[in-house]
Amino acid sequence: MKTLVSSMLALVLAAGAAQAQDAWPKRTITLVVPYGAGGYTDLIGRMTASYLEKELGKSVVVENRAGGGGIVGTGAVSRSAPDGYTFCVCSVGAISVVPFAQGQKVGYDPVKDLIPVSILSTISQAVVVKKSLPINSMADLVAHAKANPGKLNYGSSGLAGLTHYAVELFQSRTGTKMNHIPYKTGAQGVLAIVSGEVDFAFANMTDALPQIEAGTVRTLAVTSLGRSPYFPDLPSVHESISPGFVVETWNGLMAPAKTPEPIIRRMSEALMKMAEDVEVKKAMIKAGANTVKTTPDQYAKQIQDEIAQWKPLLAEIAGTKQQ
Amino acid sequence: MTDGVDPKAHGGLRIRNPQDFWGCLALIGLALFSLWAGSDLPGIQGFSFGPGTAPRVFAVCLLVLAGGVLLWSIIAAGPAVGRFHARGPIVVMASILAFAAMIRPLGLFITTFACFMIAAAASKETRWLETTLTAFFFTIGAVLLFFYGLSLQFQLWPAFMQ
Amino acid sequence: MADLFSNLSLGFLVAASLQNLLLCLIGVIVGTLVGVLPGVGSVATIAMLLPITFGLPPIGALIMLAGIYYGAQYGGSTTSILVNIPGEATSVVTTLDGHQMAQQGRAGPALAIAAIGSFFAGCVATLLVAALGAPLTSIALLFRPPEYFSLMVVGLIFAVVLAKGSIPKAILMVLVGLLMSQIGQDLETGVGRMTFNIPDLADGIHLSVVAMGLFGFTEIIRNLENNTSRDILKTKIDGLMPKRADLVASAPAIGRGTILGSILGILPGGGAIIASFAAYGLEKKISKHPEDFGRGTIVGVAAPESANNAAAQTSFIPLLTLGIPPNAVMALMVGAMTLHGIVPGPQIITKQPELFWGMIASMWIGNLMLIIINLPMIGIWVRLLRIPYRSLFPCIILFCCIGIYSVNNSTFDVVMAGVFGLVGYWMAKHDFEPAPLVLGWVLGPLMEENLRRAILISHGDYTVFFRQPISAALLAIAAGILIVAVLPTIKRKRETVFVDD
Repeated sequence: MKTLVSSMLALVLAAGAAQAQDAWPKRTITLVVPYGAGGYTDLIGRMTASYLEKELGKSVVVENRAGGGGIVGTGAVSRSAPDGYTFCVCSVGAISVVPFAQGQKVGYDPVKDLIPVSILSTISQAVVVKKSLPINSMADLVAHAKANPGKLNYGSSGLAGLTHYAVELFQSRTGTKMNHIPYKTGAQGVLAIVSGEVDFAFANMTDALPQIEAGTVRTLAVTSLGRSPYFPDLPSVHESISPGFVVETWNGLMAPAKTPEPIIRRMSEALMKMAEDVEVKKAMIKAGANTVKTTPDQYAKQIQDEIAQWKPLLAEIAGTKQQ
Repeated sequence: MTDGVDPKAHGGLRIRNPQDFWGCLALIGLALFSLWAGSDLPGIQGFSFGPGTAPRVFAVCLLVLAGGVLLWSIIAAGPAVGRFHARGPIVVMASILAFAAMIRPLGLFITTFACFMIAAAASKETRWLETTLTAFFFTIGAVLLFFYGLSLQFQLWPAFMQ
Repeated sequence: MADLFSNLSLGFLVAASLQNLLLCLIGVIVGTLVGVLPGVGSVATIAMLLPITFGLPPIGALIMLAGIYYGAQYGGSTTSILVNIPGEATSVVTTLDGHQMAQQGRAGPALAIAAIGSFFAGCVATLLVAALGAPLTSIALLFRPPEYFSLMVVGLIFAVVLAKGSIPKAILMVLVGLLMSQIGQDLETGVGRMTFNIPDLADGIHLSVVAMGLFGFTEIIRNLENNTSRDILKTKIDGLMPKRADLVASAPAIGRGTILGSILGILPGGGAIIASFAAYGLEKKISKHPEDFGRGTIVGVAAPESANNAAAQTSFIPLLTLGIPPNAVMALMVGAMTLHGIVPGPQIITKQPELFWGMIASMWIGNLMLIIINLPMIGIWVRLLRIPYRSLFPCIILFCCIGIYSVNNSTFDVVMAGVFGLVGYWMAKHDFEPAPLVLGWVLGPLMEENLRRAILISHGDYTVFFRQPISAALLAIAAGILIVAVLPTIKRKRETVFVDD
């Protein structure tokens, strides 16, 4: 009985999917944002929804399913019907990092259960230090850290955040030891440098930009592969001290696995067009983010590269904790 | 209800403040339960408090203070526990559970109407014709307000009717 | 001083344009509506309106969003007074005396004094921000983890003071709140605490869920018990406007509440949350009739409502100059700003003066609009209480369910609120008060976070709390209040024992 019902359901779903391909989209598309309303991902999701509405001619709504650092909403999308009407505005943490952390049960496989469509925005990090410290370059930072092992405090935006793991990766690459002080938000972490609570941070550009512009912190480098459009004079960490060190936060659209390929293609075309839209670009750059044009394949490759970078590090962190 | 101990009862251990006694007993249970639930969390390591320390401190404080008030409640007189009524809490909870179960599959309209009718059963004084009419108009009002007015993300009708 | 006037006139020039006035009006009306509906957070509304504001000039968009924010705060106190459902942590205190007043037929004066107090506080805070705006920012930077920890301790002591019954039982409730607030992922290590691997518990249980259960649902269940007096109104409605005596009693409380709220609102790490509790606790401590508190005294509405509004106003300072939002609504406003190309930061006042001063002026205008709209509305609200309870209570239940569900589209949250309704019913039978529990729940995570951070930064030095002057002073205040609060109870307890024996 059970198998009969489920095979019938599968038939219905398949028929629905086949139908959907004819003239997609036929009804409202839902973009699930697995974070609370008002966060950065939510804003990106809403910008995308209003652009897609114009581009696809059907209403596109945002649904917030916050919880567990993005795990709840991402998992819900991975289990929803692959009919081309539910997408997830994913973020790097719940895809490439958290699922591989020790003792973490997320209930979905980020590679098998979700198909990448397109990256919507990327944010690079800026290495900022307290102005009262005699540190003027990445080399100074490493030298200072080596001379005072375990003495430097760094702030982060907390849990499952790349602002934490980036410094962990940096420590493992440069053989240094520093102290982690987690904050709830990135802006708090940067403010802690201004008030002198902590010594430095690898902060998201969106959070660091206002303080950098006001000159209340000293900026040493950016973590993207190339230089930042904001500060072309600043070196990247990759070129200055640690080759191959690239950390970028992204938000991207993903769909449940088995979503029909033509729908993915159509969606990806729309989003690549959005990446070149002047208005969208302007808004993102002012906020400290970048738009990038990515095909589904490029996006998938990036996720694989990231997993290859973070998985061993997460195992290493878990290993030192157990000792 | 086990809480209905007669404060004037004689013989055996006489509890002079049953309200505090049974209240604190439950809080002691809560404290012990959270100590057990948090027993797997690591405590202080170096400068770090670890995730387990704060819950344990709070639970132990609760345990000690609740124990103190409990002992006091045996000596000092106090009021009896009020009588629990069954109909209100059960029906209200049923209405809330029905809402949670129905809202996704059946949509805003049907759920609102049905849960209104269930909730109305909580009062003995409900007049059913009046309630049905109120429920109907309330549902229309709620749909206009939440779905059209504030355009919240609800499904209005069941998925199969779309 | 000349600066102050030129700045303010620049602000009013911007804010008084027809378009901006209209946007402000729309904002406060939408905000009031959202605030009155339990659960439907202003966060969800602002998020929904965000795409619409893309087409507006940045200043207009921000004026409208700010209008929604303080409109919602205002509307929230209406629901607290009428049906005992606090939408936010800040209006929990308003329920204590506000709803009592409503039951005694004095909903009108309660609503009116909330409006008047809020308006007065808004005016003073606006002037304060305009006069001292930039220098005040540096106060926020003086508060580091040890200071915040000590501030939270003071806040918890106020939670004990505001209880109307037994002090030890209030402390028990604070502890329960603290303990339950620990549910969820640990900030520092990411370990799930007491979550039993349920993903819905990973972020903890949201305060609005707890508050709606413990206050809203519990109140309904309790009202259903009494067949004779189940209507909210226990007596006849006694006038819509406060009497002279009410105003005389409230005036000093409004003044003190405004000062307290203005100061606490500047601190971005939870200052605004403590404001209303602190104002209530202070009034109760210095009052000649502390026994009236919790039984429908108008001072118990006036003080927290003014503190709350003053704090909401001054918390725009850390928002605009530091980019640190004190709550979720303001976090959304930061997002809205960045999308409009305005990056909040230290330079915002010098770089975009028309935006900064325009917003400040519009806050005052918005407050004026709120009082003009809401004073005549009081009559309508009060009439709502005349609806027979058998028709009213299913409406309240449904409004709560829809409201909670709409925040995160989570049915789990709806069920949790129901569970807390039952817990609240049990608590009422054992004379445990919900307000201290809620305050413990709000302050617990902030307190733990800052305690752990302080110890981490000082590398394990526990004396840091006593060595920092501000922190030490706050701890001394906390100890002082606790002693003053507990001494009379101990005396009374001994008396009861001796009398009975």
